[in-house]
Amino acid sequence: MIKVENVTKNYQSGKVKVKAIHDVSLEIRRGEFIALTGPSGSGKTTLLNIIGCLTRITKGSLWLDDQEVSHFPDHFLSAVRRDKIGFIFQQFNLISGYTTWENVSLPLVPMGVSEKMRRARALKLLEHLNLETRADFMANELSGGEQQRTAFARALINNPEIILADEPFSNIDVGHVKMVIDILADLKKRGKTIVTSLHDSNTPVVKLVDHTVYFDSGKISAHK
Amino acid sequence: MNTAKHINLWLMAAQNLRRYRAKSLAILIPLILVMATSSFMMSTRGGFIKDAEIARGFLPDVTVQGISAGRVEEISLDVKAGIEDIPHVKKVVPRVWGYLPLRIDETDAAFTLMGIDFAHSVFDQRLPWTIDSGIFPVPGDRNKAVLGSGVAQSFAASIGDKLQIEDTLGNKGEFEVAAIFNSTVQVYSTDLIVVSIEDARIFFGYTEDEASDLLVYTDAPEYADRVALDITRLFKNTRVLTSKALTDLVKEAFGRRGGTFQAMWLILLVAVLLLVWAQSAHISVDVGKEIGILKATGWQTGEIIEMKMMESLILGLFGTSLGVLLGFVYALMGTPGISGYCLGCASIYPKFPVPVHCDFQSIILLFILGVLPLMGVSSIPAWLAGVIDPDEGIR
Repeated sequence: MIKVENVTKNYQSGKVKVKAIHDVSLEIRRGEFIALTGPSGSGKTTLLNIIGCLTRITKGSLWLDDQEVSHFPDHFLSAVRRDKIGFIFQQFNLISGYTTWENVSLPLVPMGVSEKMRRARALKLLEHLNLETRADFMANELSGGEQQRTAFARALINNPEIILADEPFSNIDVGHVKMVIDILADLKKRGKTIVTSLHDSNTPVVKLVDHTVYFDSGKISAHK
Repeated sequence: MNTAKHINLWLMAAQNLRRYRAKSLAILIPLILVMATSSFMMSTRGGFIKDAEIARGFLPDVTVQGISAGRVEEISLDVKAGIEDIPHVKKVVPRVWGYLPLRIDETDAAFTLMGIDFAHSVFDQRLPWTIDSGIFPVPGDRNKAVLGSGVAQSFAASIGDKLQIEDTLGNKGEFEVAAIFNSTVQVYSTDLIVVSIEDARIFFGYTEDEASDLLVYTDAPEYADRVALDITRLFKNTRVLTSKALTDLVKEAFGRRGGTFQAMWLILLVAVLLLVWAQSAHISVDVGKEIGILKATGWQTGEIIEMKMMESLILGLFGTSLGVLLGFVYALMGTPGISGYCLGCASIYPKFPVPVHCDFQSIILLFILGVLPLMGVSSIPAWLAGVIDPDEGIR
């Protein structure tokens, strides 16, 4: 279970204090598929980052599986990210100097998994995502769709309970939309908790979601 | 301790050096150059110091020279008897010597011609030189010369040859090569021509009661300072030098030169560190993003820093090892191109090799200076990027 309680997040942009989200509360049950939607800058990505323990909250608290993690020290948060969370970034965030399989297997390196095992596990996932022929390509040699699927593979390599996808349809061509929907549907079927941000609430994926949370100016404006 | 994890991190570090070849080479090449330079500087400086230390082993306890109007000149042998009466003086040996500015095959050369009393030869058991060939002259032998092996090579002379010497100042002499010696102190074997004191007097135009200096041997080295003090007190217009003072003078001279080298080396090291820092600063956006991504995928800050430090360690060890080796080989080859500067005497005949000595402590020092600053400089950006939230690093 994910519980966001009265969370506020402020950024400092130069001398200006930006209120990204303000007093947001949300509960997501295990296995639920939640879509966060709203205009650009409404706070969807910030909330995803908070749930993914990628950024610290200014006020409030974050609970993951009955643990209040918002004040965990840095190395504990790394462990939470490694063990529980798979994050798909809007811009994919692959490391350009690494190959596709190396990017996918990055979470396994500090776990002490041998290179042979890492490659084997990465190849299995890449095969599932029709990327096996791109395994040894450098990340910057992949198309947008291929990078997206590589980012999915990296998020799934640890078999996490929670999948966070930031605008998963915004940087891929129409041909790959169905493939991403299929991946998300499969993950939902396997009982994963999925939280995704969507710029467009009419995307076909909304058929899969259990709840849609509407954001506006850093606050939840509606809940459906 | 999770050994498998550390092995993974170290392997990743090694692979990263290959992945980011351009960046690795941009640090590696200047590092190799700096370490090669410092290695040859240290080994040649060590060679000079080592030579000076060995040379001290066969310096007399006290050397006495004549002074006139503050300038060194011949010393009268009347002083010899007076010195012999000083307590703890075992032996006083007059010596006549001078420089031989010559031209050999259109090349300027400088040697030292030294006349000694063969009956009181300084070639005793303490000397770290050996007669390679021929027989050392005995008292009464005239017009015979003992050459250092380097000198013999310069003159292309062998035992029995007649050596006609005429220096550029007009002094002339003919000597038969009686023996050729070799010395662990390179400056002696490449510079020295030993003849009888009588022949040297004639060659340099000294009278029979004159010498260039007097070599004073005491009962034990600890008496040297006391004897030197007595000589200074008893004989005005003399310059009295103990072996320690002479050695210190040589060490200081080469130490200063070493200081010049070290200053150059420090400048080069600072240049490399600036380069590494500039590289780090230049790529800090990429490094920050990469570290943010690694943290987002579950890496801990410590693991990231460990990997980055291993990258620097591998790079530093490889660059320093190769640089030290290249510098040492360059020194052993005689520092081609800059040997004149190293020797501090541009007119010396080019057969003079630069002495080389490298000790374990110097090598350790080079490795510390080559590896640790590199690890520090390149780890700081990793640490700075590692302590911020992944979201911020990625952005």
